[in-house]
Amino acid sequence: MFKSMSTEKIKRVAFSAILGVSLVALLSGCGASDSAKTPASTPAPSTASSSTTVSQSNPIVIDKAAKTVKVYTEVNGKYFVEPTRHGIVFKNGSNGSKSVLKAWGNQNDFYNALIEIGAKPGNNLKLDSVGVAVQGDPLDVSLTWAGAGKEIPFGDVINDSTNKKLDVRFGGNQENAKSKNTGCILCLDSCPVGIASNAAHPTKDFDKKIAEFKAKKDVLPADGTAVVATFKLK
Amino acid sequence: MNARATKILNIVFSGLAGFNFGFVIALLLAQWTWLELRFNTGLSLLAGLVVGLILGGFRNSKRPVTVMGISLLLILISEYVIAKGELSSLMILTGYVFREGVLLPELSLLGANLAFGLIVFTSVLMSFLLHRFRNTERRNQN
Repeated sequence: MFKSMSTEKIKRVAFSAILGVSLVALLSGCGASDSAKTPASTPAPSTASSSTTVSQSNPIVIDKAAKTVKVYTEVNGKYFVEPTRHGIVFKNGSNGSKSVLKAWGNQNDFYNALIEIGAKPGNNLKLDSVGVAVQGDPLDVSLTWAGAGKEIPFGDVINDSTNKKLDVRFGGNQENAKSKNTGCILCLDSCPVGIASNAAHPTKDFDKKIAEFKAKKDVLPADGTAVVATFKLK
Repeated sequence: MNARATKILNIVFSGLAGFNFGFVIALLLAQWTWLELRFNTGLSLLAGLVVGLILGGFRNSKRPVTVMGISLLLILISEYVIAKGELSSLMILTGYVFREGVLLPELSLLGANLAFGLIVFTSVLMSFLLHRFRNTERRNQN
């Protein structure tokens, strides 16, 4: 009698456990996006367009007349509490979940978009460069999102431990960007792989702990919010 | 008491305890920025789960409530220290460690927090049930 009752209990417990795991799987499924399934090693299709509306399906928009490139991104709330050197990274790149903003457009299309608006790359950095500032045409980077009501300079959403003013340059680095496939679009210190990076901090500033960057959670919207980043050639 | 059923409960409990200890390791490893930016430190959750399941198959957990209590307390203390006692930071920490650990980076922080809460609840439930069954076993032996 006792044995059969205990077995019943165990069955109920096992059922509860299975139910719990199923619920977790269900919750996980609800939050996952179907558009995020492309593996990092797969060459991304071209995502740049001259259509005016930037969105997940149209993630890079070029305006030659205004000399702007708009990129669709989403906030990664992790970097409200952890430091990073990655500002904007293509979500399917190897650094896709290591940046303040996850971009839906890839780094190669972004490079081509900047070339299309007439920007000139610096291409002065090598993978082993230390203490060298990135060169290239200067870019104004601003962000906006539903409810922001205005364009907010990218520098205003980043907490730089050294308080230096952001100086974004079109570094270029097309070959490294293709071969490494990190997805890096905008780095917060000078970078030989990122398409654009911050000349205010020479290479390895972050690695040497000279500077640390975090996103400002009192300025940026919540994790997962869509944000449009605009790169304007100065 | 059905010995096979107790063994299954023991394995599930050990897996969940391993998951929780893996969570603590993931939280601590994420503080090593160099490693965190080059590697998915959250994977220690899954590693903890696998180790826990394997251990659960070979040895009985003698004090399930104590073990689970220690694992949850370690999570709470680590998070409290890292988040400097700020509730919003604590929620972000929990959410991102969980979603990266279970390889679902697109999962919302809210979804991740709910899923983690459910796992904590299941862990506590399992530890109390296992504790109760062990006591019943002991009483029957006497």
